[in-house]
Amino acid sequence: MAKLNTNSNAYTIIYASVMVIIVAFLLAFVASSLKETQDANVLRDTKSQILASLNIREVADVDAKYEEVIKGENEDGTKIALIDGEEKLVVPVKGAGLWGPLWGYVAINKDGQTVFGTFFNHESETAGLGARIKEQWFQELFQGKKIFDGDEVVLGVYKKGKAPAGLSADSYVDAVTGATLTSNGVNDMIQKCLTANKDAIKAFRGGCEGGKCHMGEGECDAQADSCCQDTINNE
Amino acid sequence: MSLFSKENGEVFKSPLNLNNPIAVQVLGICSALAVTSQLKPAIVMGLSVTVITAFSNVIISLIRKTIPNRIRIIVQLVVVAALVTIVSNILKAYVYDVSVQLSVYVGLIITNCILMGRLEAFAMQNGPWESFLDGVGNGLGYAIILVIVGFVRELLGFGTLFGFQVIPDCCYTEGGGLYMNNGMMTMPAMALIIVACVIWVHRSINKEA
Repeated sequence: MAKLNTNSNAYTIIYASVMVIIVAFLLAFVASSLKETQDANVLRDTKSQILASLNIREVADVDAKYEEVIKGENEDGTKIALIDGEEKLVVPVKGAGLWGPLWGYVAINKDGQTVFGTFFNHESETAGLGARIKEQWFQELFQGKKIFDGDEVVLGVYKKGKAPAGLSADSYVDAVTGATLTSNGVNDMIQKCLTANKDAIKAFRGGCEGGKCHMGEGECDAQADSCCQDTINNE
Repeated sequence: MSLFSKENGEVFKSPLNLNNPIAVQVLGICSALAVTSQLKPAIVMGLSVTVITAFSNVIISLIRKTIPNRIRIIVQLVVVAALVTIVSNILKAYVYDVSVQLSVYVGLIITNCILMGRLEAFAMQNGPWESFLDGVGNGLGYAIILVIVGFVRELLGFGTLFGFQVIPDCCYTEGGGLYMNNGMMTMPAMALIIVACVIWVHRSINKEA
């Protein structure tokens, strides 16, 4: 057999074309045959992230638990959950970290003010530094923190001793050591997205709709959200 | 030639020590800095690189006689990229948790200089079995250094190993002791210094290398 001239132009071009076609088919085949499993994984992962923000972590059957807990979804993407007979509002948050996107969920108590739980995730923050926002201990720091001061979202993440003067210790958590930029990203993300969802949070906390309180108890006057004010005062 | 001849043993062993890709050839340094602040990602990264180096070495070695010389680097790159994409797809479908934890690092394996280095220097001239051994050896040689650096950084930077606390609370200043975690260890710059120390020790032990 005559030795093939592997250096000729024709051979090079044909070789490259054939290689590209084979690899393209191979990758397309792998991607499409695995797509269904991957999508199911992604969906289940999203559900488990939402559950994590409600302090339900490491459940065996995510789908069943999700069905059980999540009671409804609003048009703006916020979700209503029912935990131990009490409603929680789950607000999705999205922002930017140091290397890539950050996202998460903030679950808010019925008073529209106190954080019930949080979950944060990231795409490519530095392992061991920024990536630690994904860990439970950091997310649990937020539990019980107050979101609003008056009408303004003040909940934030600050370096130790660097919080703005006058901010109550109830309204911020300490940043992750060595990950200032990621922590700032979490801070901006929370403030931006909670501010954008301010109306949804207010509506959740109560108020009037057709003379009935959202809280379900009693009548209210159509002018102001008297019911919700009462509830907060009572607490 | 038998599968486990002396030469083949040498092919496998030399990158672990005398010809270590990081300590001697100083390849793949960039990823060694990024993923070694804790042990677990360091180990997973080391294993992924080992698997991908081994298999891309085998594939290139099988087709080495047909590759046109002028586009050989492109061919190598296509093989590596295809392999990494397939591996990352399989991880996503069957071990979703692990793929989430590795995130961007799986994709970054494509740019690891060790892979291209081994393909060009070894797989293009040698048979599939030798290339496989060479790939596994180099991958493990890389993994060893990553684990050493990850061990030192996690222990001194966080006081933990694999996420478990090993330095007792009472040693810390908060608990009345004198010890504080070294925040410097969590920075990438410190990985460079530790890699340098590893190379220093390695060279003083192996003077002839």
